[in-house]
Amino acid sequence: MLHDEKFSRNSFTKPQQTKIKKCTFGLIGLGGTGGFILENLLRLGAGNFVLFDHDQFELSNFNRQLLATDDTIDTLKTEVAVARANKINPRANIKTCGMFDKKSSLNSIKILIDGSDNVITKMEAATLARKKKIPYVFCSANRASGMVTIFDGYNFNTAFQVPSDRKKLSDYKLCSSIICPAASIAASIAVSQAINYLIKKPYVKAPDTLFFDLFSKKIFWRAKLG
Amino acid sequence: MTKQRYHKLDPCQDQYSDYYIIEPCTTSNGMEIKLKDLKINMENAEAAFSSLGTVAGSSSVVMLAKVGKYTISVYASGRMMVKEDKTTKSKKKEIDILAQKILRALETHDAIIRGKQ
Repeated sequence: MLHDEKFSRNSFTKPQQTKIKKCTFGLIGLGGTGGFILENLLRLGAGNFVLFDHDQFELSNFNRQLLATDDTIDTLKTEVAVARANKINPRANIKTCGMFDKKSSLNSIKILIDGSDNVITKMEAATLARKKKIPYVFCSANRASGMVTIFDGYNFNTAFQVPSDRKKLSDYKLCSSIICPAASIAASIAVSQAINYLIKKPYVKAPDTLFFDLFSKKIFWRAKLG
Repeated sequence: MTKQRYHKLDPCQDQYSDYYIIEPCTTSNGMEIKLKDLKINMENAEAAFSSLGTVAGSSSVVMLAKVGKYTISVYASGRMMVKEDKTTKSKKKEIDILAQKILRALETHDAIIRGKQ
């Protein structure tokens, strides 16, 4: 009863809410976007998670990462995320994993949401998700801008025309600095799109992509990748 | 629980040294000095870093110090994030020399806690 009351103000039908509760969300990264993705999913009543992160909170995370506080500094992000989730939904079933790479298991994951900050992880996640035939929610924030789309069959490498040379890829820096509103907006859009996919409402599907720039006159726009 | 995977370490790293040097994060140009199974006594570390440079601020788990051109965030768990500035990528060799200097200072000031805790 208490559990249902907590999420009763979500504007979903009962079957939709059950679908969200039962779905297992894979989440890569618990930093700037990842922390907000987890928070959004928890508030929407999601009950099953597989979390990938190997890092600990540090001083430079404070400007944008929801879970970075004086109490959590120098602590594993997965550990902090589980503690946070338990405070919102103690019934949530959470599996924590270390770093995401191409050997990571996506078994049981129904939707993979990416809050990571580097091209290699994103490429490997998208490739693995495509192989497993599960949707991959691309979410990226950089400075005051960001982009979100769902890869559901579309090839990530075609979309971004990434070089195949792994060494060149490691030189790509997605973000040198990010402001908190950009991270939280990218995360909120990513989660809304993932939920739309799940409950069969319209969503942004790659190559279509939703872009935003909080410092520009036109804040949101859609464009095609590739 | 799935087995945790961490950063791939440089294979040429001396297996007998007390630390690793890793590139921690794609968002920063910093390098990380990670002590192997060692933790840092933050109280004593303040004296150690004061002997090397200046301590800008500290708490029970983290300290910010300036040693030469480097700004270092020192964490009680044994991690030290080293940054030059926002754009300069530090050279691994230079960080290695810095790490040795820091280790010596930490040991001199009894700021190393040995063994897994």
